[in-house]
This record gives sequence, C-alpha cells and structure tokens, in this order.
Amino acid sequence: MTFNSTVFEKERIVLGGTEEWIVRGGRHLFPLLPKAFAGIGRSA
Amino acid sequence: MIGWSSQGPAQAQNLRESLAGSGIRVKVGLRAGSHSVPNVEKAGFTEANGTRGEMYEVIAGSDLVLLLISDAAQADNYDRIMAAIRPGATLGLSHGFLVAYVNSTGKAFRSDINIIGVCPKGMGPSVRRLYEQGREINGAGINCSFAVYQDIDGKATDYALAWAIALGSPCTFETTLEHEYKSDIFGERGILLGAVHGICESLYRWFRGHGRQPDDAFLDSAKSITGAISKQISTAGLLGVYQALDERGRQLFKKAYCACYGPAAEILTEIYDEVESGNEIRSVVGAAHRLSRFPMSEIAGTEMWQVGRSLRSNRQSEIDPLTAGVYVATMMAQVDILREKGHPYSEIVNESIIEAIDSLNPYMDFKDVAYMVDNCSTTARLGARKWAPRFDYAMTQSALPMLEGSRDQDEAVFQRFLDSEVHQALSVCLDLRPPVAIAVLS
Repeated sequence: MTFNSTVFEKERIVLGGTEEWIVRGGRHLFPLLPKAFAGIGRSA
Repeated sequence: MIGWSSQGPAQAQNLRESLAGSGIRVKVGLRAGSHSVPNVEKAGFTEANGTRGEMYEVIAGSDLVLLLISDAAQADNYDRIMAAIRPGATLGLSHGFLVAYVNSTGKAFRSDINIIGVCPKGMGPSVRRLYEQGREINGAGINCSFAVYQDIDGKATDYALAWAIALGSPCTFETTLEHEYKSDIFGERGILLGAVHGICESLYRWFRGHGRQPDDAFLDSAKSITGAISKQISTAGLLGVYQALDERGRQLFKKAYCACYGPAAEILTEIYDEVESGNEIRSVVGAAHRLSRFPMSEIAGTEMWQVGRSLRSNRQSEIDPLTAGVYVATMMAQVDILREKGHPYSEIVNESIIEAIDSLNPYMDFKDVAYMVDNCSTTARLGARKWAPRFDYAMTQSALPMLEGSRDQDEAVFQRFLDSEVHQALSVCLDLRPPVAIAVLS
C-alpha cells in the first residue's frame, strides 16, 4: 500500500518483508493543518 | 463532530486545540434531547458561542462531518445522515462499522462526497489524556490508522492525515476501511476480548481441577496474562515469552501452544467468515435492538473474578508456561488468519498484539474482565459475550485435555511460530509506540 500527501512527509518501514509507509505526527506539524484542511471552512 | 460518547469528547477537544487560530471551527452536533448536552456545554461547546447544535443541522452545515455516534445509531439513522451531508463534503469515520453495515445491507454510499477514516488505537479517554501529556512529553499520543474509502477531489488523503495529526497521533499507518472493520470486529471477538475471556475462564477451572488454590489459580491464569506475559511481550516480543522460560517451562509452553493453536484457529476462522459475510454485523444490529428487553448480561460473576478482586495487591504474577502457551497460540492464530486475508502487518500487529497488551489487558488487570470488556463499544461488548464461551468450550473440551495425553505434538505448528515474520514486524511497531502508558485507569 502507498499514498501521497502534498503536505506531510511519509516514511518507509519494512514489516515482515513488506513495505509500508507511515506519517510521524507531532505538535510542530499543527501549523500545517490549515493547508492540509484546505477547503474545510464552513461549519453550520 | 457528531456524538459525545467515548471518542467524541476526546476528538472534539483535541481538534479544537490543534486548530486554534486556524479559522476552522469545531462544532458538536447532538440528537435532540441528548443527555450529553450538559457535558458538551461544560467542555465549552455551547449553543451560545455557536459550537453546539442539533446533529442534522450540524451535518448539513459542515464541510467535514466526523461521525462518532454508536454503531447501532449509525445503522438506524443511516439514510437520514446520508441525505443530510452536503455535496462535496467529507464524511469521516473512526472505525469501519458503517462500511460493514453498508456492505451487509446492499446499500450504497453517496458518490458525491469524500469518505475517510481515522481510527485511534486506544479508547477515547486515552486519546485525550495522551494528547494532554503531549504538551510536555514529546511523542505522547495515540497512534492511528487512516484510510481513504472514496476520494472525489484529490484532497481526501491530506484530510485524513491532518485529522490524525490533529488528534495527536505520533505515528499514522495506512489501511482500508474494509480491512479496518474486519480486523476490528474480528479482533475484539478474538484475542482482544472474547478469546482472552474464554481462555481465562477455562484455565482457571483447569488449575483448580488440578489442585491449585483459588489465589494461585487466578495468578497463574488471568493475572499471568495481564501481568507478566503482557509485560514480556511488550518488552521482548512473542518469542521473548518462550525464551524467558527454563527448559521444563519451554516444553510445557510448546505442548500448550501445539494443543491450542488448532482449536483457536478454527473458531477464529469462523469469526472472520462471519464478519466478512456480514452475518456478524446483522447479528450486532439485532442484538442491540434486543437490549431494551434483555439488558447487557453480567460477565464477571464466576469464582475467579471474585478471587481476583480480593487478591492481595502485593502478589505479583509470573509467566505461567501453560497459560503463556495457550495465550500466545491464540494470538498467533489470529495473526496468521489476518495475514492470510491480506491485512497489512502494521494493522495486524497494532490491533492484535499491541492493543491487547498495552491498551486492553491493563483494564482487566486493574479490576476484572467486565471492566475491560464493558469499557469498549456496544459492538465489542456484544461480540465478547457471544464468542467467549466458544473459546472456553474449545479449550476445555479439545485443547487442555490434550496436555494430559501422550499424543505427538505437531512440530510444524511450533516451527511456524518460531520462524514467523511477525516477530520482526512486532519489533518495529513496538519501537513506534508512544513513550507513555496508554491505558487510562480510574
């Protein structure tokens, strides 16, 4: 499985001989949230 | 954010804090007449400041709808919820039950919305507590899996990742919502809740029948699993449990492993088939409807839990080789079935091993099996009650009696355990855990 993000960096790990991708989190990424949530604005 | 039970309070508060200053407003929607209104208002989501409203109004007015109401409520209100979401909006789920429900009923999702999942690997109170700890301790938070089920505008992946990061997830793995719900509903019926309950009951009776006193029988069965065995898996993996034993202990572990793997795998395969076919989902919806007439039954009424609750707290458990063999064999049978069905290792390891030892077993350790099972969702509570007796019966009738015979062990079964790829996968995933305890006990 793989995925692409335009905002967050992904990291490759190998589990049982198969490749997977993860995204590490953290509070330093919170400033990127508005960019990643582009288009989410309206609420009732 | 729709709903205020386990995940709702945690996710609403974490998102509001992470998005402070962004201009994105978190609003909580509740059904009319909800008993949760005072708690929601107390958490600062008020009608007066425009962050609390009636659920269908909030759904209709939002670009991102996080649906965190109970499984039964999702199923019962499916048509109205779907109709309320506006075109182009995104529906977020925190586990795959709704996809299971749609699959089992032949309904279809709307094609003009994004559908994503972010599934925290811990209960709601842990999602909140570790987020708060994350202000001081770098990396504290609950790991999440994420999934994109339907992406109509190319933004669904970033929405899902942003949601996970805003919840405080230190490490986010990818899955699909189909894999997620199968793994989740299967897993809680298996080693996470149902199987471990059945195993504990059968082992306690076995030890009592073989002359151990009540305190010792409890320490060597349930307490050994939730204490020494869980701790050893957490630090040294599944192989580490076996390797910690002396030669005599290793022989007994192997004998128990070989006796239990087959009977456990048989029931687990049946559970997977029931979940995959939709039977188990229909069963849950039916059982939830019967609850008004037959409330959730008691499950911690046997001698062992009374003994456990009154056990002196200074008595520590050890790794009982027999109990360890039974427990690890059942866990491995679950791992092997999920792998056979194509689930990614990150999901298998997190949901069948790490969730058990870090997240759920501590609840049983703290009090009893009911405290663990009944802190989970209604879907899980019903499933544990339905399947635990099957494991108890299989262990009592088929597996444990084999320990007394001189029948040859199936060496190949044990060799597959020693050679399994899961040990490496577990080792990587253990290192990706947050640096603080996950279970919130009170």
